[in-house]
Amino acid sequence: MELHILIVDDSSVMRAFIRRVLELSGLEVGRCLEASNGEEALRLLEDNWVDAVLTDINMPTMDGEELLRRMSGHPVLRLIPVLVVSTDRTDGRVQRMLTLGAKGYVTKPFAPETLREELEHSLAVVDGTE
Amino acid sequence: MSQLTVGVGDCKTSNAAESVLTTYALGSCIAVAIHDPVAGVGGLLHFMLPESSLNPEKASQNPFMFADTGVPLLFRTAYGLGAEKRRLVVRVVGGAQVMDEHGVFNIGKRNHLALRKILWKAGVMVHAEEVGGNTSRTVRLEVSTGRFWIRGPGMEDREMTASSTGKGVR
Amino acid sequence: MEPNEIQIGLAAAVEEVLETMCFTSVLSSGEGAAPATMEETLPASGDEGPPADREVAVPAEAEADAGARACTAELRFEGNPSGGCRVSVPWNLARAVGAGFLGLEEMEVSDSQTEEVVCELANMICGSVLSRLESEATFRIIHPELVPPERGAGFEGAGSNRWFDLGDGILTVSLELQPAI
Repeated sequence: MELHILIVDDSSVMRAFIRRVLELSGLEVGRCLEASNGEEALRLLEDNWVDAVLTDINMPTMDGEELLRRMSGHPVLRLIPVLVVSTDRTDGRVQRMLTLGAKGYVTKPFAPETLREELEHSLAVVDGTE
Repeated sequence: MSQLTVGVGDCKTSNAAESVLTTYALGSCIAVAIHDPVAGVGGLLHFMLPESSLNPEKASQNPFMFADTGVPLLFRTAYGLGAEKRRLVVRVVGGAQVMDEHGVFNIGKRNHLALRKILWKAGVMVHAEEVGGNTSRTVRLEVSTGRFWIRGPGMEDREMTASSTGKGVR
Repeated sequence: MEPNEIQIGLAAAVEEVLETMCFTSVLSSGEGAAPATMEETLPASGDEGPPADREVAVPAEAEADAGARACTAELRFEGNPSGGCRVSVPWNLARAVGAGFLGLEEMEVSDSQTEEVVCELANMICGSVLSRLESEATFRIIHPELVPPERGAGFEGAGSNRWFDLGDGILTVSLELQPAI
């Protein structure tokens, strides 16, 4: 079954890197949507179901922490697994994002296979296969 | 079992089920092991240096000495035996920080980065990796099963599965 | 925060970013905005080994010229401390690093992709340094932007600068910290 993924990051080249990892990952990726901040992401999520959201934290207009807070408070969006991909590896931030419901956390810079493994883990946790 | 030994600056591929590909004494050199579980094809490359531009004449005599000439050949040979890129399980071992004959410590790291750049550009993911450190390693790949083992000096074989790189925070 | 701690943090952050996502190695690095005068040594022909510690002559005119053709990204951050981070890369080197990041040939990398890569390098280097120096603080990093070349590679006034020799050119990083009052 195809996976639809939403990538949220204000850097177009980082979104391209992540998209490349997804394409090479061996996962059956169908649609790969992109947003450059949390507000754009929420607009996309109004009309598009996705199987996972990969989000940065530091972004203009609406950051990743606010995006995750809004998703976890929404009856439907809270069901979508969120994987954080961020430069911020401070203890406080990591804990807050995990407490808000992020299923995984990858710190930048990351090797391609690290992202692939964390995404597989995040999807499996939701599946109940892990 | 039919052991095929891969020397330094060497490469072997096989689709014979009884084959086991082995290479020894990986110091700053790097071993790239690939396996297609569906086609039953395995390949093992042992390269020494990152770029053939360092010595083009040597590279034309022995392309397996360098990452940029050896790696594409490894993959093309495997494709010729029926392997497909998207099915390949790729493992990387070696690149230790040992002093080579030029008195240089960082060649292991440069070999590793050169390989990773080539694989990323070619659209190939690495499934498992053990690089760096300061010891020499020996590896072997079983063509029938795709199973892979590493051995350090004075140590027993350790099996390396296809997912040994997790560095996320959980 | 000791200046030496910052230099160590900068060195570790830049190496980590360039190696992990651009597959580029740092041959040497040092404190300051650019290496001091050095001599050039070339490997002997037929030598199959890698070049030994590379040293590059940088006369004043060449430095100024290289500076005018650099791609420089700057970002500000808020927290304790607040401040800014600037990354400057000669244009050809920036394109090569961008090619490594994107998995493309150099000629396939557009100018805007090159600029975006340098901006993202600034973002990752800054985030990595801040996390190393203040692992318990919270920072907000503001989106990096390109800086006109005439503003130079480093911050005016107090700041920590470090240069990195990547073989094909020198990347410089500047970090300016303003502790909370």
